[in-house]
Amino acid sequence: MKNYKIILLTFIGLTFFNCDLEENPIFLDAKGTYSNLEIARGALDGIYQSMSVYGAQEQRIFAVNGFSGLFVTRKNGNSSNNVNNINLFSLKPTYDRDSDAMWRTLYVAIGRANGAIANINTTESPTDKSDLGFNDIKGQAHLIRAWLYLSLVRLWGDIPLRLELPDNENLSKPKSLAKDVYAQIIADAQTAAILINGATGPGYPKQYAANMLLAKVYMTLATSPDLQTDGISESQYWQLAYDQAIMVYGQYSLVSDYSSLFTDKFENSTESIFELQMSQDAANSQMGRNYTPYKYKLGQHFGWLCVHADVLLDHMSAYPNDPRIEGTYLYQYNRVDNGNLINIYPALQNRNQFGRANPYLFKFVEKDTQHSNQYGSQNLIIYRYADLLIMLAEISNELQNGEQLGYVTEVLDRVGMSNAAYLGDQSSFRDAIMREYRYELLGEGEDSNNNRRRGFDYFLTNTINKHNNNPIFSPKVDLLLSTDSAQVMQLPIPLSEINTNEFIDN
Amino acid sequence: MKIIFRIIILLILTPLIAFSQSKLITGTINDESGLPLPGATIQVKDSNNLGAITNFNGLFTLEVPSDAKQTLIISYIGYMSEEVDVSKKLIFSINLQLDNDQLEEVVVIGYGTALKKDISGSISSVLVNDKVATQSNSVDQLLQGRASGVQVIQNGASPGSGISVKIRGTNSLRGNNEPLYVIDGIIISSAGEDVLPTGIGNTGQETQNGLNGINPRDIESIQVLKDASATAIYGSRGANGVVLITTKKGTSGKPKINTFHTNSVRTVYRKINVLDAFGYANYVNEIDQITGLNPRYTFTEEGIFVGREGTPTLTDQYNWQDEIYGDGFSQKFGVSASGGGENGNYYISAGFDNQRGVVTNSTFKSSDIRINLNQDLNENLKLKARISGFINNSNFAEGGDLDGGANRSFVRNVIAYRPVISHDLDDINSEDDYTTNPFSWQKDFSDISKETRFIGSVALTYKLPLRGLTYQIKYGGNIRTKDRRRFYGFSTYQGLNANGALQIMTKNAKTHQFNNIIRFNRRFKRKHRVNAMLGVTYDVRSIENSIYAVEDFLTMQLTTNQPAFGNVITRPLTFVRADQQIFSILGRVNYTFDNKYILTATVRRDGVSKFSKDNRFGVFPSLALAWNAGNEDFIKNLDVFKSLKIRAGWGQIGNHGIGPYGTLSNYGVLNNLYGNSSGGTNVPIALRNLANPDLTWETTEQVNFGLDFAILEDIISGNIDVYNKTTKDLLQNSDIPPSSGFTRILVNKGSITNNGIELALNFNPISTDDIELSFGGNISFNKTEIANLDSQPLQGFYENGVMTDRRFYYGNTISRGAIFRYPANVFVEGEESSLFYGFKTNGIYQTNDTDFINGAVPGDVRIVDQLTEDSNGDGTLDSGDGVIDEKDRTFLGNPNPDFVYGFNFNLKYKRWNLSALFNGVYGNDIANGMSLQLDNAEGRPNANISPAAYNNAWRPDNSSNTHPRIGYTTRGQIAITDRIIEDGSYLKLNNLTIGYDIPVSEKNFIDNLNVYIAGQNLFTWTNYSGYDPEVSTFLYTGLINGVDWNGGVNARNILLGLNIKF
Repeated sequence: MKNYKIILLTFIGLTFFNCDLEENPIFLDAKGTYSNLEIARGALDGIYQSMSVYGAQEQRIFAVNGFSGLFVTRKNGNSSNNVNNINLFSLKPTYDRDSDAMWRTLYVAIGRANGAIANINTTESPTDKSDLGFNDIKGQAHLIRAWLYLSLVRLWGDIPLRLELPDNENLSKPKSLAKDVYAQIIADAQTAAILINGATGPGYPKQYAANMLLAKVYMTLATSPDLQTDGISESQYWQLAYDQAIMVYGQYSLVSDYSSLFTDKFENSTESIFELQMSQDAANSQMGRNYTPYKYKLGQHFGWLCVHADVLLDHMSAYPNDPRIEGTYLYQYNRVDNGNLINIYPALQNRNQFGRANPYLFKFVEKDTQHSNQYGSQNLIIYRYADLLIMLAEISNELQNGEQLGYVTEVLDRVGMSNAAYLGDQSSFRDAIMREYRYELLGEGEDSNNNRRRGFDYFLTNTINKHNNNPIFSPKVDLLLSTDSAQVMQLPIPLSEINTNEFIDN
Repeated sequence: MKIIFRIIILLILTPLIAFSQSKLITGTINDESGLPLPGATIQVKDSNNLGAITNFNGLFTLEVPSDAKQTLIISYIGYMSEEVDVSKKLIFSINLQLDNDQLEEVVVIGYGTALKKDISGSISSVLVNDKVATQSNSVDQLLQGRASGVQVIQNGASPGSGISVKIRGTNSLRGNNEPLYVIDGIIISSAGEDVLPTGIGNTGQETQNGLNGINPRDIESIQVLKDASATAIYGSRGANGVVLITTKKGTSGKPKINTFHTNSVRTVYRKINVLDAFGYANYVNEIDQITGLNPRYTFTEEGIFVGREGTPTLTDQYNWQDEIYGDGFSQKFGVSASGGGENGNYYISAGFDNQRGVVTNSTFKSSDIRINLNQDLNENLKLKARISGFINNSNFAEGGDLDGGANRSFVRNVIAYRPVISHDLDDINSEDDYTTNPFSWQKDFSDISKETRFIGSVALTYKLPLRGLTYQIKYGGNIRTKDRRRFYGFSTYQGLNANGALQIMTKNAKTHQFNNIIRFNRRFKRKHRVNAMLGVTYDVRSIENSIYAVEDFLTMQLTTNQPAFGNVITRPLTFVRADQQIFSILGRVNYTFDNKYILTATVRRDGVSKFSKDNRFGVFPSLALAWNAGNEDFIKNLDVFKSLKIRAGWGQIGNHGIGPYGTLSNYGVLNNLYGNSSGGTNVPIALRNLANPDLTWETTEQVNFGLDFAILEDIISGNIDVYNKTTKDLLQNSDIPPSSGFTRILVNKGSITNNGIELALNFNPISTDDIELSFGGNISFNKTEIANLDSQPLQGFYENGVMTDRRFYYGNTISRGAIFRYPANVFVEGEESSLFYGFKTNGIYQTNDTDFINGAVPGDVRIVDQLTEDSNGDGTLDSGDGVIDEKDRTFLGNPNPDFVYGFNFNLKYKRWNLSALFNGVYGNDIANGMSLQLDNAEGRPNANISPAAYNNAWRPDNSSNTHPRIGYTTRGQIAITDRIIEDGSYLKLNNLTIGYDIPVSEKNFIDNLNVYIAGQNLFTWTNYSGYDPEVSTFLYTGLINGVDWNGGVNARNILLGLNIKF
């Protein structure tokens, strides 16, 4: 009977004994992440990491270049009729996986930036190391968010503007007007310019990156009446752009060897304003694999980006013997496995074969021919000083402040080219400087916007028709670019967004 | 002090002992017919020591002290105990009456047992016979076709591959619809659990079977609990049904030794038709002609030469499916010993299994051991111990690719790799060759798993002083460790890309449970029977997964053995923990009145750690009534029914098959690092998930009506069940707008209903010593409907071009590659679950057509532009909008079967026996992803296609309305088309066994010698054009249904077996 009672007592005891039901996961929470400076820096790297992953780097570069009207691709088939060439690269964008991935990944980065902005406290006049550090991190989060939204709004126009972390009851967001998105970009960049102080150290952007971004925004607004705020004239926007750009002037300097910018040997140079840090050990860049041509290096190689042959011919014609040609294009090389010479147009005059009719873009090619891994280490430069100088030249030409020739001459001096093309009137200077972006910065991510920034007619005349009507155009190996104004200016919202966002139907 | 106390007690008692007297009682114990019962036990009531046993003539004598109770208790197994007052007797004789309760079939139910006649819920019992058990590799195979309402999806070709069991339709739209598995009272619940995936590039990792280590040969019986009345005792984990597995125990008598040995051969019996080498070379040359190139291939008497320029090279030609898929020979052997004495019994078994798949390096080796012990420690205390151990080593499960791009998968490469190979191919076009030679998959790829598993339990049952009341404490658990390593060598696409790639994944899962149960099982006044229990359980699961991936190897000689040779760590060693605790109080009362009226009520209160405090606790009740009408006189008088029972039940049960920590924000380390300006790396941190603090379990409310009957002395028996289930708060890992910064969130969203009818019939027309014949079948109709999606907004939804506001969402995207990169299924309120949604087509555009849409050209597939415009204003939509876009999508098919069925046939004639088992499904559609490339001549010169796609391709001079032009591709398409929807109905001869009992001399030490030949998965009757209509690609993904994406090959297994009993 005694046992009986013991058992019953045990049983009843167990009934009321509250066994442990708490969760003890092996990860951090928001407070633990953002209250410690070192961990917060890890969270900052988390934001940059999302900008360096496949969707934000390889696929973004692929999509923005494909939509620039200057490129052709061998991805998805070695043919001018592959799915990319007949759609995105012919400026007839439809739902495509690369722009879809870019959309998704850039919004992931926005989410991470939103997290940092929401959780980090800043100090108005920071003095100690910790306060400076937190201010710098939050400032960079604002800068990154501004850059991300600028990248999105330029391609898609009206987009969801999300400034806070979603929760389970707040998952869908309607599109905001592009004008409102630009206003937010300006606000973020201005905050970034105040908060960034360099405390995080080398390899991260300084506040001048925010000034440069603001200058780019004002330049876009200057030529986009639909986006302008009432009461601000075009010339005022150019002036605003100048005010921001000039703050950057002199803070950086051009490197002497143009081609060195596109190697992993001279990274974070004096010319670099905003650069993503790639490392084979971090396994965060497959640019070298994707954009290196067949048998140029030992490891796998896809050779996904080629430049329209007429773009190269135009460059050669404008600046014969320009060292930038060697740094930008690849049309002749020896196979790494057997040493055989491979010629591509114009080294190979015959343009019968699609695969050899257009030169490769060389900037992202893995330069080490013995490289065997799929991951590379070459950093990706988002903004560099040569771009700023060309911007200043363009802005100054619009303002006619007399400074324009000086800036562009700095750029041309590095490569030993003459500034003769810039000695004409404002209009011819304008056309020349718009081409200069292309010669200097081809494929680096700004072409798509630079080509469209001055409106559809300018895009049609200076890019689309120029290509479609070029003398060597061959329908078998070249893409006939769309001339439909309703089609060529923006990308369609990705289907993955339409399928899931209750407020967006197209 | 204690000693002094004991001495005093002894002194006090001594006089009593000295003066006590006793008397001698003599008696005869007979059975109900008056024949003597030898071995019956006679005991003085309330005495622990005194007793006697009847001799061969049923006689006994017993000395009963005068101070003892003058009552004897007479007992014998199978008979009702009797009490005899001997205060005035010295001699007596009684006849014991049969205890029908003990002779009745007892079935295992949750946390206990019950008489079969007292069951009021819907339970399918699966008999496990030795021949079937020795053929089966895992427990879920035993269920296929053998129980109504149970659908099993498995892949016949691949040893160790995942198997899915679905009870009564789709209960949940989250990942895992698998039932709860309970072995000897211990919850295992690991179906669909594998190591975490760590693919490389766009490859996906096939899930392997999570139920390895539960040996079918050791199983005595399986009960499948289906309705709420039966499963509610499992509370928040019972909604998908419960599979109760009881392992064998020994019986009294001399030791029995069983051994078995089987040899089997597995062969592929269905191959996919692709172009042979010459057909393929012609196809490529035609592509070249279209693109203006010189032909790649030339033909001479010596063979096929390759090369557009210079000197062409002679090629080798292959039929890859013939090359790669061969015969897989397997052996199994094992031995078991069982026996027992008066106070205990034992069952011990051990076995070894060496399976080979249809690909030469596909192997699955395992060995296992089990010890089951039952021991009466004293007359009130019983011990039960169960322990089993299992180790296994497998390589390359030859499966498909879960979600990767088409060209990266083994299955796809074996079908579509170019059949013409040059070893000196010097052609720039080969840069598009992102595929892997099938030989490389065999020689240069490893997918090695090593698994150990221990399942054990110890139970002590104490008989309490109140008659019928027992207390049991049981502790048991499951330890499972798995190490899976995948290595891609240089000659595979993935390995070339990475210069060798190794992924190492481990799982270390420990679960343990502590059950405290009080049971009360007693009959009162012959008419009242109570079987009740009250329990408290604490269930702890502790799982730690690890992931590690490394690439760029200095040498590839050591494959999976040495990661240190890799230069680049693409996934730093990461631990992913998934712990869970459940604390529960549960109870059940099963009351039977007069063997006619049965009431069962259960309730369970669960507290689950994975939900926040506010949502942590839930109560799950059920109630069932049954009427054993067969025991009513007016039914008995009909002389037709041996038994007839009508059942009705209602209950609420739960489901929370999601990982833990879903309510917490996870700021963790990212998969890839970030570089720094020093050339090194930094560890990046980010929010990895979108927490949902409101998460709670799904709740299924189910009503079930059933009828069990046996007529004409069991010649015909069967049951019918009708049910209605509504599951609300469906847990889903739902796709959310990418603009949120996340791609998925765990939510409780919507509700679904399942309505179904199950029918099982068994016939036993002949049962004599020489001939036994039985056959039977089961069929289950189930319809799953999305009842409510009220958490979703009303959105424009297009059906046949007409837009209405409905609540809906899409399933998950299928592939991460360029083909099939969109959802196939849509979930729409008011419709059946997961319907196929996409574009209708109408043949091929012809040259003279004038209505080309979206830049289509002659020879393209004509996608139907749904009628959305009223061009003449007559109120009728008569034309499309001229664009093919998302608005032209409409319903294309239904992946849910109308019914699933199984039937069996058993014949025994003297020493021969024959059994056959068929199973099938009817009325479902399959989206055949393989045909996206096989049936379109895409014009990619490195991928083979079907002869029909090439021969019947549309050509300017040879128009076709069935297959598109050479060069047509579905890449970039945004939805499936009806061209890939096929009828998925099938009937399979699941098992055919012919056995013979070889005569053995009685003097021989062998008791029984049985030899048999069996065929598993022998034939499939289907119109489906893929490998296997039993689609197994996305077994554990609730948001993809009926999609065949690189699904594995179908194989039959012929087996020769020998069972020997000593």
